Amino acid sequence: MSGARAGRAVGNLPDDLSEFVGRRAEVAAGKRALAQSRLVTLTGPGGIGKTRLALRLASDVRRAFADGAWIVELASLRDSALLAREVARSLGFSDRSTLWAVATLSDHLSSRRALLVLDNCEHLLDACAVLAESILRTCRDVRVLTTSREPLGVTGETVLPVPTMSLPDLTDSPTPDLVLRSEAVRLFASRAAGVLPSFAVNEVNAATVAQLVRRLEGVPLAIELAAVRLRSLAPEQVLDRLQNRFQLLTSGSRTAEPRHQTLEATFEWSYELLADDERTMWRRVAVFAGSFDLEAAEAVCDSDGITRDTVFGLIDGLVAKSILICEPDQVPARYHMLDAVREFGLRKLREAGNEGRLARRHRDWYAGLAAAQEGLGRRQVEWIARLHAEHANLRAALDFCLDKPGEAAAGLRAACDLWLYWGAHGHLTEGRRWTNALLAAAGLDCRLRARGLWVAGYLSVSQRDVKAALPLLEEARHLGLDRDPSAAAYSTLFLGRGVGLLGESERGLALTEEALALHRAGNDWKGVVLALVQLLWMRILNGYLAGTRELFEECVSTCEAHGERWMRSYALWAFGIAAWLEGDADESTRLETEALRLKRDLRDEIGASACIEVLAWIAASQQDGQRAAALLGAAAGTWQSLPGFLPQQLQERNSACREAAQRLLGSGAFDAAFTFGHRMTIDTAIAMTLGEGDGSPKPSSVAAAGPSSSLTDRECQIVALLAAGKSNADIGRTLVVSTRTAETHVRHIMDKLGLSSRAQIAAWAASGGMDSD
Amino acid sequence: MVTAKPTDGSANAAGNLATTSRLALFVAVCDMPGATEALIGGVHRALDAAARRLAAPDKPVRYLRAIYLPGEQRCIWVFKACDLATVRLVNDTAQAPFEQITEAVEYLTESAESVANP
Repeated sequence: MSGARAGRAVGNLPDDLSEFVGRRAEVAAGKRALAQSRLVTLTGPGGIGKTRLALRLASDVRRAFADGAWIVELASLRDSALLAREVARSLGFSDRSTLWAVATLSDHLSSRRALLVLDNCEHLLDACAVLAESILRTCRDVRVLTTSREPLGVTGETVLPVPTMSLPDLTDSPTPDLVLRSEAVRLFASRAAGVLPSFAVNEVNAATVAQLVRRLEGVPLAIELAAVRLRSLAPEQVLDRLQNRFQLLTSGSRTAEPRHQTLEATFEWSYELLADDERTMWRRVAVFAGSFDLEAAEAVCDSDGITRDTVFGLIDGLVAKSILICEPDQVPARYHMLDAVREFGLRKLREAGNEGRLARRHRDWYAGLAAAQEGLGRRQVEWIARLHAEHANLRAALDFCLDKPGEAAAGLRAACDLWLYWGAHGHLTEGRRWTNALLAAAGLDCRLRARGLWVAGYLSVSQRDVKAALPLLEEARHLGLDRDPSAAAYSTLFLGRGVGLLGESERGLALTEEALALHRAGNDWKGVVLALVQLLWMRILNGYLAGTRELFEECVSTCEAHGERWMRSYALWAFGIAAWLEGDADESTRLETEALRLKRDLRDEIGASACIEVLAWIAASQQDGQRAAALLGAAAGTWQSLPGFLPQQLQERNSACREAAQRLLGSGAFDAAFTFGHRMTIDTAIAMTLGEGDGSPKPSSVAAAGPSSSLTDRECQIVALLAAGKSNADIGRTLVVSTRTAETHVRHIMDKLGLSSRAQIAAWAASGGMDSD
Repeated sequence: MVTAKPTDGSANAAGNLATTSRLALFVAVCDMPGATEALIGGVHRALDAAARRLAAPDKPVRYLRAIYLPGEQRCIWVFKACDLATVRLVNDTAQAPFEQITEAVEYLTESAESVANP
């Protein structure tokens, strides 16, 4: 599963796409600042290299943070109310509660030592400042590194302006060695060699290259845009054309900040060098938020001389000229622009009078994607990944619909089409914001309104905000019974869920059965499956086990017929609980294990935690206290971000399991095993639960490890370094011993503690083994 | 002697800003089941910080206080502002939860008013 939770993995920093050149002084200053200050902000205009520098800093210091370094990319986020949830998403967990998201985030981070990198804060400056203050107040081992065009203005903030790159000195006859001392020249040479492998700074071109980078004032993005032109121009030609462009620029307004003028001039120059259709393509792809794929570009950008057949060639050309960046690890390939480049493109699009038209085409494409995606079905996993990749563009499309008069209905349709994406994949708050805003704006088409109401109601129920949900669902049901059978069926289903949460179990069951009948009458297999799982669950929760097998079997067979795995996994989980309640632990284990394997494939962290929870109960009932405690700990991390998620009846089972495990182990050993499970990544927790992997941590082996008093001081130092993620080579460097010596120490530690892997040593340390004497 | 009057000075303040030089009172209401003192305190500080940052001569806003109703597990955040949109912006900046934001009228005794509106 991607985006593992903070404290359970090393982070999400991306790999460098190109060589990181120079910035030695800035990196050193940044490290010093992070060592002394808990909030560091890198400032500077667009194109100065703030993001690259932040990523390099984070990469260099991440080993000092046991719970990793995490980047949150904010460029495409426009709604400040979603900031904390976006941070949570980047950390790999979703906050589905209605509580203050900042508090959930702080709870998650409060016991962790992590570095948060908030990239591109300028358009959310106030929200980022308030968030940073709140986190730093409550999470003493978290540091925050931000990039922004201006400081956040928070007490205790250390501001590091990012300068331009160092320039070569002006001399009459600069030598290659002399000019290569400057970072700007080295950057130019690196990027030029990327497009022209034979390029090198030499006696012939050293002076020209020096003049070029001085002309570009050492602005990294400007240098990169110029360097890639060496594919087809000599350095002298690049310099001449730039000089002409700068003369034009300086004859105009002098009020712009000089570095901004430099970048602007470089953009204008790059733009002019393009063929007409490439310029058109630059303008048009600026309409995409975040990244986009070729299919989207073909659909949105083809018109007036650009056809679908020519789009790829133009995209390829823009990539070659560093206007677009290709993301190499994505399949299909995705492309994005740096913010400054995109802003220029949007400006040109506006000047050409085409922004509205392109924005509409963009909306049409993404609304079409929303309509085409399968909430449930064979291609579900593929669609989830695709929607996740397109999230920024979906937001931009919905923003367009909300802003433009007369477009709200189209927006509401798209938002409703995404109801399962919002609800099942951690975007409940965002989904509610969109549907509520679009409902308010969308006018009075009754069928669309009914649909919007039940979707808003479903999202509210899923967030346990039943008070907000009921009036929405009741109105939707009223409208639906009159005009739209599908809306009637879904609103009735979720109304049943809502009243069930209020404790009205009989009414909830009756409504669910009514919804099932409505979905059957409408031949809606998806609705039938949803209703069957809900009915199965509500019967089990209320102790009506008779007839659950028939519900389960019908649900599973319907899911199998349509290749549907999400609801099948929930049916397995629910029926596994029924089996356990009937005393059949083996059958329960089989069902929960099968569900857990599906949950892993579906990347359903909440569902996986629910399976692990039930398997903990089974372990406790089988007198395996170690396993029960560890599994409870593994599941607890998820429940922390979902207060009230477990219904009362299951919370009682959770408490009973906890008490049983404590009786079996004693409180000290229980706490150690619980912590051991709690600190795992969800992937490791699943592997442990399924008993997979060679050398994966086992609660029994870690809990049975020997006392720390058997370790020497040096060995204790090494355990601490292992727990911080250090390799043997790192340990050697830190302790000034050879790597072989470090390896020998690690073997001795394993022998003394009775453990068999580095992961077990780290887990033992994490569970308090070093404090256990 | 208690004299009750709406604090904005107009005879019928509901729905109307008295004058452009006066700020109206607004409340944001939110159910907060299971809220702790730490949680409410956190939102309270965030709203205060957000209002201070966002206040401008053309968009005045002040965050005044939080009122928690333990029996109902409901919180009320109280503001003075030029308009509802500004209050919403403060809430969004602080990412404070709310179900509704609405204009309010506050009736104070003379002694309470002199404290509330120095």
